[in-house]
Amino acid sequence: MMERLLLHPLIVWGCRLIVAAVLLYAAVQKIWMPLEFARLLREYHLLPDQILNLVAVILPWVEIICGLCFLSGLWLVGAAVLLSAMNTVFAFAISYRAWLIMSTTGVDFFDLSFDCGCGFGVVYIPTKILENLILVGVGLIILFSRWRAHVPNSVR
Amino acid sequence: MKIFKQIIAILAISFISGLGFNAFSPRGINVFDNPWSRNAIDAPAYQLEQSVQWMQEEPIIFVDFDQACRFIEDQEGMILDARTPEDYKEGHIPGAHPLFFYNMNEYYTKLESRLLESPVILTYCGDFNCEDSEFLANELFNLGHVPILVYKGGFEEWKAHQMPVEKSREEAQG
Repeated sequence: MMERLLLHPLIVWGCRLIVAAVLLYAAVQKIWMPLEFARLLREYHLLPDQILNLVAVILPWVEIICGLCFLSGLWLVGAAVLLSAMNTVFAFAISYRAWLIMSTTGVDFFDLSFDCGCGFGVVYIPTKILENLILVGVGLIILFSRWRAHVPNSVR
Repeated sequence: MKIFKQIIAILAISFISGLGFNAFSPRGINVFDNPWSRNAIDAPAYQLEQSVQWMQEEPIIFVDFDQACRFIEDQEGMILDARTPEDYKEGHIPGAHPLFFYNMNEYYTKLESRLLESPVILTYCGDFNCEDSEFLANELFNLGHVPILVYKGGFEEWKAHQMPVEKSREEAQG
């Protein structure tokens, strides 16, 4: 019952539109300020300084191309896998940075806000991590909807 | 297999689009550049004015409030404000020019010839926690400007010492 509801074509379409809107909006904010985006990436202390500029230039375009895939339906499976993978990484990265800030400043997790470089400015971190996990789930919904459409009933 | 092909196609298009857009964007950056690593070292407290040779060996140097004051009073070179244009307009160190690090392409071209003539450059930003003055110094170093002094205390420390503040000496737009 739950599976039917989640994989209903209208739900899947809604997911695709919302995800595309989020990805495109976030990416457009970042492509106009690559240097500032690189600085925000640097604050995660996860990437070597030498590749920060390159990642800051490429990453928003991965979001744009994925967003266009969700809108057009082209390479939907690949875009869904990338969406889930990227948001899993983002959720871990934000959690790691949150842990760094908490361990150095003593700020409580539920009082934590910072600019995560996600394209939405300063955000409340617990909500942001939840949003990332929801996007992981949405990516999986789109992925399974395509899988169902291509796999015969007898195999399911 | 199909999934991998799609992922590779998306990543390849992203890579090409990103580099292409960056090449033509007025805010494009050098993707192989690294303005982020700290190159600056602390200046010895006793000297700056007698250490031209030393400054050429260590081209990016942190200076404290007293050293920055001396530099500004003696008009030894250009002073660059790495903060946002809005912050600059609200008040800045007298004689400072705006060079917002994150929109460097627009600001730098205006100041390039004067920077080349300046024997020493001093950069500053907001306060001790701000790293933009350092990033700006690294970028100027990559562009061939040396030596560069980084006033780490920045505008907040300047104000805290009750030093004069100038407002919108020049248009802060790029």
